Amino acid sequence: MASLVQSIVVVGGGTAGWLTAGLIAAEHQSRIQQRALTITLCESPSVPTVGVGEGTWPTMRGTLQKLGFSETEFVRRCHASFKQGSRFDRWNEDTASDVYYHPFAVPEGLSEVNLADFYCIEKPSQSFAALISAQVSLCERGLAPKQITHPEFSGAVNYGYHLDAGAFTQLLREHCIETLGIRHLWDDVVAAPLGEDGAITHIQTKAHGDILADLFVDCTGFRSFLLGEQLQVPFQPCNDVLMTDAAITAHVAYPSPQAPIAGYTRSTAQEAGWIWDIGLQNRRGVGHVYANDYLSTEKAVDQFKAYIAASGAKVADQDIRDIRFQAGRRARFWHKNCVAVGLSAGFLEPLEASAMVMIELSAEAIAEQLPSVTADIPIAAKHYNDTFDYHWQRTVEFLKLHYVLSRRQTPFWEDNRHPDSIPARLADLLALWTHRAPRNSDFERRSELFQAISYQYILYGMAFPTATVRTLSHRQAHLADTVMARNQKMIHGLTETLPAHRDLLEKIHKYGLASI
Amino acid sequence: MTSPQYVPLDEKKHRHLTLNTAPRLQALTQKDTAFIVLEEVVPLANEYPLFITKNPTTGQFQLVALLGLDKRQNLFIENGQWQAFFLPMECTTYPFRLYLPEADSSDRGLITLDPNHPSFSNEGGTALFTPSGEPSPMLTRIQQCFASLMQGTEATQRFLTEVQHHQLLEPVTIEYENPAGDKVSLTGFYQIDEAALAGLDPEPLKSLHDSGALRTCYALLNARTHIEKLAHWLTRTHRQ
Repeated sequence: MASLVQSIVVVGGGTAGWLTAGLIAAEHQSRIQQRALTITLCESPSVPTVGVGEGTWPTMRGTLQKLGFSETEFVRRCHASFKQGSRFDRWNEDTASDVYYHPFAVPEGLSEVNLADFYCIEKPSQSFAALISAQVSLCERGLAPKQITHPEFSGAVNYGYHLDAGAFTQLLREHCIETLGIRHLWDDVVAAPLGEDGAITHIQTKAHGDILADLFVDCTGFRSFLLGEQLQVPFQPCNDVLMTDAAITAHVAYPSPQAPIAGYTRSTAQEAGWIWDIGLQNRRGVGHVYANDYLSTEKAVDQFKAYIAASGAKVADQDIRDIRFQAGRRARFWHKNCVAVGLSAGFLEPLEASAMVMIELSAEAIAEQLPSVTADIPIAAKHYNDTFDYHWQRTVEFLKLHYVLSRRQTPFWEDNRHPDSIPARLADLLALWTHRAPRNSDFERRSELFQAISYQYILYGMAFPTATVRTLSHRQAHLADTVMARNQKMIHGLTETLPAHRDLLEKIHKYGLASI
Repeated sequence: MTSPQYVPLDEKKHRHLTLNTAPRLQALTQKDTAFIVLEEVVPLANEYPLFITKNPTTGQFQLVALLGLDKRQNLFIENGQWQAFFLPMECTTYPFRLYLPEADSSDRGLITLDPNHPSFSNEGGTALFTPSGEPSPMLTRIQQCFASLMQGTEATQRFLTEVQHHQLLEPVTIEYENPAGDKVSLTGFYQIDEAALAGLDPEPLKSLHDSGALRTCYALLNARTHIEKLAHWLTRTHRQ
């Protein structure tokens, strides 16, 4: 008789652990209530969480809804702000005017006309992003993506969040325990013995003894305790492609409580890396990602401080955190009866905030494809590994794209453009794109993380020269005009009606958003 | 035109001031919506379409009576007459305004007025004060309305919180046919979700009944029919 999957143990209580446990529990809530499925999360009281990132994609709105959160509570508790995209400074030529945006907007009508074709043919004076998305205007004017009268989780334009990772974890923990029926243990896992078939039989904890489960989720961070240490799934570095290996981070105060809050993640290129700058309600989170082979930590700190000083703020040495990492991933994300989510699966520099969305996608895939009987686990594992191999490779390529297109002249940037460092598939696509713009059919998956529009925002934000021989049909030209005219109209309407970002956040604190 | 200067109503300064109906109604011809409080729902539901909207500044739900079907349109005023038996209190108190010293203070609201408003003069119309300096019946009525509006705000919020708690609100689109025969849709309105109300379990239903909210819910739903009346008035006005 088939043995049912009845118990899941998640090891690790960071963002990855709670999001994964929560999304599985939300999807299988009725089975949890019938006690046909138990989810246990074991969290070490002594290991601090890294806090994977403070920037999300718009997908987080759906994730929060699935988990059953109110947006009002989330915004209040996590000091969250609304993110409308990313802004890249000095990535192309290292000049002050070298600025472009990668907004979250996906303009309507994209399935019928490729606006990048129009852009490459007509070469208009406006930037590509400003031409097709109102969000550039909104970002530059410091406006929120919604009004106080918008219901929770909906807005005038697409948005994700910036959040305080520590506060978010705390909120998730409370909700998962109180509402979603997850069993929580504050305990250290000391071992995870393997059975004859090479699968994990149980975890041994310090205070709660042995805990058996049918499926184990490794969310133990960089350590990768289950998948890496116990199951010996090897780490595959990709630092030949993405060369940064260190980050210094700090929390920075606003000059005044009324200071405007940026509605985008700002990424400013540096000599051997780049600096992220994220505005929450109560502070900014800033970090310098760099390659230690090209830049000493001392110099990296100097550049970091200079950036913060130029932004009108200060940071003391003792408030600077130093993180080392290696870009790369486990050879398999799901092995036997163990699947790793988050840093235990792999790490990439936080360019384009891929960490959090990868956790959401992983957790959703596990919840959605959760095998019913233990015999099905290998099938689910194979399917999962195929899917996430694909996502991982595409993410590495998309991050690499930002470096490959740069014209910056320091050794770090020059080495980043070396053909040996560029994944073959990306090199092929770049060759194609010198003669035509990226199109949806370049990316074959149904749930592609980075769609053609994202590539277009980066390519044309960085002045990539596509010498297209394509022409637009009369109908397509008309459609392109329609989309762009609609956008200009939208910019006009939205800049009149949308409130300042900070004003909206304060109103949410004061009045809250209605659910409808 | 100078911007209005509101001053506190003063029995000495405004002893001889009178309020004139014609210019007062004239100034209301562009008022498309009136904010109402809970106690007005049942009486007004006989004559006005009533809906729930969101306050544009706070996003909080509020009760409104629709006076027109377009911006700055009040179909209730025709030939200098208000075409209804009851008036929303917000219209009754016009052009007086209530000034609240501090949101959190317990100070009583202060009735203010703009003496230069065309509705006010020193002859004709209805006097604000009696010769002996007592508030006239008309002014007393206005004072009562302000008091009811202030006191009613809390009950209104309680009602709106209660229906939200039971998930009884739904966004609705108001649709009507304009005089040209085109379908027009108005958005940004909310109404009691009739199906959700009908599907309530006995327990929440009883609590809504006990608090009086149930009666208000049905009054709001019944008032929807007045949209057709307004559309009819619009067509009639258009033909004239």
